[in-house]
Amino acid sequence: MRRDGDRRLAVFLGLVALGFLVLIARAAQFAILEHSELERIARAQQTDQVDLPAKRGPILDRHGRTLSCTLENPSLAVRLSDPQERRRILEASLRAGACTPARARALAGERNAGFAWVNRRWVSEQALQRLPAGLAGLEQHSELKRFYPAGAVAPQLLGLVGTDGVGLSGLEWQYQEHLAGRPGRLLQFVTGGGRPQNAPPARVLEPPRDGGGLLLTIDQQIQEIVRHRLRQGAAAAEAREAFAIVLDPVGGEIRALVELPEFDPLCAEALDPARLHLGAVMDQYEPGSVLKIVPFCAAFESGLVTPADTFYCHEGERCVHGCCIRDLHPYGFLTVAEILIKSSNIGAGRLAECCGWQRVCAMAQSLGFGTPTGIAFGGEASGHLPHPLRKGWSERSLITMAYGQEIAATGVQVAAAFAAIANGGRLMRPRLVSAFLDAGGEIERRTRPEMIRRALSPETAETMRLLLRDVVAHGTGRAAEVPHCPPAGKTGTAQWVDPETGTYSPDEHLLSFAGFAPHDDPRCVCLVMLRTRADVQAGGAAAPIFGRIIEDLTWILQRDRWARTPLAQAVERPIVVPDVRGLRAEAARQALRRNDLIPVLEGPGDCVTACRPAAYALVQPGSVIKLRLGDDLERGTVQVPDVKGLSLRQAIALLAAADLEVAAEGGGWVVQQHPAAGTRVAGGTRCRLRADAAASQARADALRRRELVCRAR
Amino acid sequence: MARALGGSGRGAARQAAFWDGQILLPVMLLVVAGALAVYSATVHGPGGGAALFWRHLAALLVGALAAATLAYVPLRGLEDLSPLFYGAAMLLLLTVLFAGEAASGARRWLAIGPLRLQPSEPAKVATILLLAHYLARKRCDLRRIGSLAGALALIALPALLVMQQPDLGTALAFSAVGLVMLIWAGLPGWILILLASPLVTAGLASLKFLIPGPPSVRVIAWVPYVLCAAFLLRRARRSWYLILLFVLLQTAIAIEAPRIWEGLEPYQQARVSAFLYPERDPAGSGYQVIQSQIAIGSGGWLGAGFRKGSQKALAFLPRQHTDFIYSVVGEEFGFVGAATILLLYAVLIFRGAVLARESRGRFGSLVAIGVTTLIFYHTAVNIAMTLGLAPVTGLPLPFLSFGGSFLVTSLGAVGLLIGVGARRREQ
Repeated sequence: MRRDGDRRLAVFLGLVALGFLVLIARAAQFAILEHSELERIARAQQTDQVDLPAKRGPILDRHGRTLSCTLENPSLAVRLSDPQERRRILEASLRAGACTPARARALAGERNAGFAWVNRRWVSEQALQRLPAGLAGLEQHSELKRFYPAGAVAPQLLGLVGTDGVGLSGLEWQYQEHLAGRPGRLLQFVTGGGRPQNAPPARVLEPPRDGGGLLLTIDQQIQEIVRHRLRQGAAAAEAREAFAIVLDPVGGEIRALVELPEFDPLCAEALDPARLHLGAVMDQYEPGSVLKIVPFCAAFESGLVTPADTFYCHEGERCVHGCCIRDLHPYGFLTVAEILIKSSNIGAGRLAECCGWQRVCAMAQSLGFGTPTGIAFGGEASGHLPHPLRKGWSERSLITMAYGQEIAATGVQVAAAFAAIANGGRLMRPRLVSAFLDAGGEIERRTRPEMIRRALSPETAETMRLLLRDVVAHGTGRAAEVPHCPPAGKTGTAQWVDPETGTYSPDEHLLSFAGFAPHDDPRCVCLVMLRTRADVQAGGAAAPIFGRIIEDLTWILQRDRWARTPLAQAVERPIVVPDVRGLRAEAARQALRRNDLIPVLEGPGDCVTACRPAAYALVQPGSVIKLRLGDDLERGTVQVPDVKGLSLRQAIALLAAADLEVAAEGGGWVVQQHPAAGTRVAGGTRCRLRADAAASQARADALRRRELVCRAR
Repeated sequence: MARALGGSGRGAARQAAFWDGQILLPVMLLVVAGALAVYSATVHGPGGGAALFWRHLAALLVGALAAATLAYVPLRGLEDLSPLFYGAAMLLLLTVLFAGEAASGARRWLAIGPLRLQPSEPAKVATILLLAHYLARKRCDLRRIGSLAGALALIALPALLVMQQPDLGTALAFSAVGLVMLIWAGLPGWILILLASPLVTAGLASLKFLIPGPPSVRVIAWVPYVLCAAFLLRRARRSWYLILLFVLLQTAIAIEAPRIWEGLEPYQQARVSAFLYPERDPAGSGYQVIQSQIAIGSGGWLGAGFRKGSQKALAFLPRQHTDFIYSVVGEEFGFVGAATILLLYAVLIFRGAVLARESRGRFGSLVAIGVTTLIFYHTAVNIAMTLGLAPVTGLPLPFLSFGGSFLVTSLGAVGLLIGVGARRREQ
């Protein structure tokens, strides 16, 4: 029995020991052998990366007035399963004006209860205040939303932004990358149930980079005037569609672009996508008599005719190449000038025949027809230019082209061509954006006026200006006359191809007036286009709108004239020449470029020894800075530039260009730097900067001091 | 007692050793570790605030009192009271079936005022006591079918009642403890084979997870097993008739068993399959096992530190203050902590088995081995479960898991063990 008992004890203990050994081995397998793998799995399942939304940059007009910006605003949502409670909440929000009746109806009828957005659009401050307190189930979620402080001034041009913050059309779409910025990433801990957890605290892996802004060439004031006048005129003429473009002929900057019918970008959810279309850029049409400028320009440019030469106009009807061309009124002999003034189709045809197709086509091409203008707007149409070598050319094409048929152009092309006449013959690329701003609102990059080509000689342009002035003064465009700011321009009536039938519409046609004012020193080009009933004439509908617009713009144009500075510097501030002495040539060049200055390198060597104008001088953007190069005295070392008084951003750029590292504290303007300016240190040395946002006085002082120093030099 | 006091020096030593250090020390350390782990798992966990922790401490206090009381009651008194305990426990088990509180598909708790009692826990101790009493009687001979049937009935009654709740894990605990006590009491090996082989056959026949592949593969494994068992029976000089009967019975079970498997509750099937292949359904039944393994694995050598376990804090770890408390220890105190806990259990269980061997009284010896087995069974099955070596049965870990009834029961059982140890020289 005793031995039996011992055996049993041994077996029992043996089994126990075996069991514990197995357990220990298993624990060791997890905790030691597979530790790293299991820990990785633990980290992966316990954390979740969430996007931190970046704020979308604003779109500003040329004077910095906000047209479109992103603000944080609550969205309202309801999370209730009880239909009674739900209805009560919907009624309350409806009464407070925080919800549209349609949305409330849709939600009340929804069977699938649970979470639902009540209003994800703009909820006004007043509506929020009017909401009764303590509505359980009504949730406010803060969301970044696009808002239009100036109202719906140019909805097609600016475009829409979706609820997910992505530009859907217009400039918002075109510059999505620049405007949107880059969302940051947040590492968040989540529970086994998938709910985010605050402890341990979330860690920002990458802060969001807010989007940059756009400084447009659009002038909100001009835009409003044009919009008002166009709406008035279009209503009077019962126009179905209309657009107007106002362009600065010197820089090609579009000051206003209005397109009717409009829509409210805040309530655009159920909008027909076709309405988002910017017809002035994206649609091409036959502009009609407005394009008579082409054969005239060709004729004057070639020197074959003068305005005083006469042509026979076949008494109002001329049959040629199996087709009859008619004038509104029968004319006999007309001078070239009279042909334009009276807008004789037959005369224009004769003139084109006189020039020959090579000259007319070349002039049309030269004025930018048939190719996109290159305005930075997605979906620009190229227009259509007939050519003998292309399909569709017939013997009469040259003649019909002369009065703007068989040729298709976009509104922007017509406006740019008139701008070329207005500015002495330079075809400028139309621009919508004048500068790109960074997230802090500083100018990152300016767009510059860009001449596509010289389309006309100054003399031809001058002749055309005079003739077009006569059109307004004595001809078909009399309705566009403005007393204090005499305009010049041309009317146009054209048939309209109905996209549904694909043929010319019998009931509707396109009326346009393109011109500029004042005729002797044009500062604004304007194109008005209407689609109206066929019994309205261009001179009766489009020209008065043009006239009213010019009349209203007179004072604004004068104001710009008072403030006028050399080309494209109207709104620019003087900038400080950075101290690039001691930098390598390439670094110095980049630093200057970044500051909107144009570097010119002189002399042998690879290190900047001097510059002129001197460092810290105040100059206009775009000024030429001459850099004298010499041999670097101490190779591998750099001279610390003086960054005191500069903005932190400028300072960092300057130091980075000098191959120095930066450690900055504070924000705003640099008030201290270490090592001191002028010391020579090894490349890659860390410079400590202290900046202070309240140091604007110090900055002003520093600038003044430097200016004095510069003058003294 | 008088004889014990006879030897002068040894007598003093024995007197001092009433509270056996090799039992008391590991239990106290385990209780402290358990309190820490429960604190860590409840105060930030999803189970509530510090209320659960205070309840745990209260249960500890009650358990300590129970242990002290049971340690001081003389063995004879226990033996006399054992039928009463057993009867009361069976009554409670019956009551819980009808008036119990249901939670997650099982009626396990009896609400008495603010307290919630789980009668299956004290029933374990009661069964050990009565079974020990029954087996310790002079006229009990396990070779006789009558005595064996009586002993089996004592085990089967609570096991079947608990099975009705249903609580398979606890029912198996009764069987395991009872079987070890029977063997300790001298159950011949061949009867053990007869008793155990139906389970083995049923397992082989029905659990296709155990041996994957077509049924023929399992038959190939089963045939040698039956032949081996028959050979062992023959060696024990059993008659050929019995062996033939045995083989026929095994065959019948092998044919019927798959239907029993199909008769299991889906959650029971799911638990077995989750045990065998946790990665098959990481979001479902296997989730708990995988999360527990991740917790222990991410602990590494030294662990994340007290109250710093993220698997625990972020509630990835299921039932962290009850069934998976060992994973909390593993995550926060690492392999060193987990192994130390295992070592403490090993010391306790070794000492318990040695006391059972040294106990001169048959009753005391059987109580000691019963209690030791109870603790070992719970420890091994629970830790094996958290380590993915056993199915998720819902058995708590003695001294560590939150749960008043079981904590009081295990401490009371330790009290019995100490009492037996102190009186091991008594006949």
